[in-house]
Amino acid sequence: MTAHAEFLRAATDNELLARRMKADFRQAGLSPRDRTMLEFVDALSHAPWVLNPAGLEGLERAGFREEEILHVVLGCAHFNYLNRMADGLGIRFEYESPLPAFRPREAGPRPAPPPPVLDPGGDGPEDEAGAFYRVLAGNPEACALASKWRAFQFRPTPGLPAVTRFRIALFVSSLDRCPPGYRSYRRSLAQLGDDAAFGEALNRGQVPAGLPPGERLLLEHAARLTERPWTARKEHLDALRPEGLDDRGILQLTMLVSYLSFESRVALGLGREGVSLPPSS
Amino acid sequence: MGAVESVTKVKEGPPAGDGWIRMIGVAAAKGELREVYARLRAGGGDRPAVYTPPTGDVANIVKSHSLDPEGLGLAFGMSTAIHWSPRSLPWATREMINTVTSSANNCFY
Repeated sequence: MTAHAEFLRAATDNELLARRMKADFRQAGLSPRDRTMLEFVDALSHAPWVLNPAGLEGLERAGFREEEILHVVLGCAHFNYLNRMADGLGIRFEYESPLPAFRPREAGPRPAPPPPVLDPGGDGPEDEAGAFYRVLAGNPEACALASKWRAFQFRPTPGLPAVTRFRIALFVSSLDRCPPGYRSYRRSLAQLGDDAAFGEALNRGQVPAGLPPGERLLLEHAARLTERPWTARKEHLDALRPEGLDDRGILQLTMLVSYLSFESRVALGLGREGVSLPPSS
Repeated sequence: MGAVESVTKVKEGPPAGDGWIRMIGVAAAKGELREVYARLRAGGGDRPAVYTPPTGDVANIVKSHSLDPEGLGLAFGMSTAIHWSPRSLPWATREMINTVTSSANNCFY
């Protein structure tokens, strides 16, 4: 927030607008078009499951072309990634700004999600692989990078083997109520021969009974970063170190969880019928 | 710093250093990390000077990825593709989106 309110001041040469945006965009005197866009962005960040085709139709009625909508969603989704990286790693703010300080809230307003939609864990549609990337076709560079970025997140590392990564992904996708995500990750876990009972619990957004304590910690931290990233503290990371995560492992866990917030927002933000995620293994 | 906002992070953090894990800046970067930093700088085009931190190093959000150069390159390659391509939304519009997203996530940085 602090950095980008300052960048907004530079972009607009309008300090009053930046101050108002930093305090509350709804009181910033924006045009109806900008207000519509930012209500969409706010909803997509807070509670991506509340969006449906009506959200996109609202943008279209406000005059947004398809390529613009894609970039609204991508920009918001990528900042959902960056925000979790910043708070999950306790990054020090190093810029300077004359704007009043941002005061993080004590409690977040994330509304209660609906009950999870349970996926039976069966085979998905044959053509699921390309659907997610096709919706990004309006930006070929981003489309090409999206598949590489996703493959990177599921490459096993010493502290985070493949099955652990997919369990985290299924859990986070369920917390975000992102059906394309949990369809894909439940299938990936089944292909790896993971315990079906684990998949059932994770699909409900629950930490499965019987998981090793270290993996429970990973899932609890993943939930924290997904639902209340601003509550992350250094001691949460310190608790992961005895479980085999060094600084690089902590970075990789934070990248994975943060990436999943990007992915769920792209899938749900562009959630026209048929958008789904490709298999990852 | 006068009217300039304090650089002290509101949430607790280490008294020194740039975050809770080790980070490697441009000056100390070697091998793949050095190449990724160079590639990102070359692909950054003519970004306004406001994005350069007073430290003269890469931004801490970028540096936070430094222990995994491949992840760094992918995350910020995606950032360039979204925010700094000919298809990107206007600068002010992007920063409005970034500001509101960060506010929704209660993110101080």
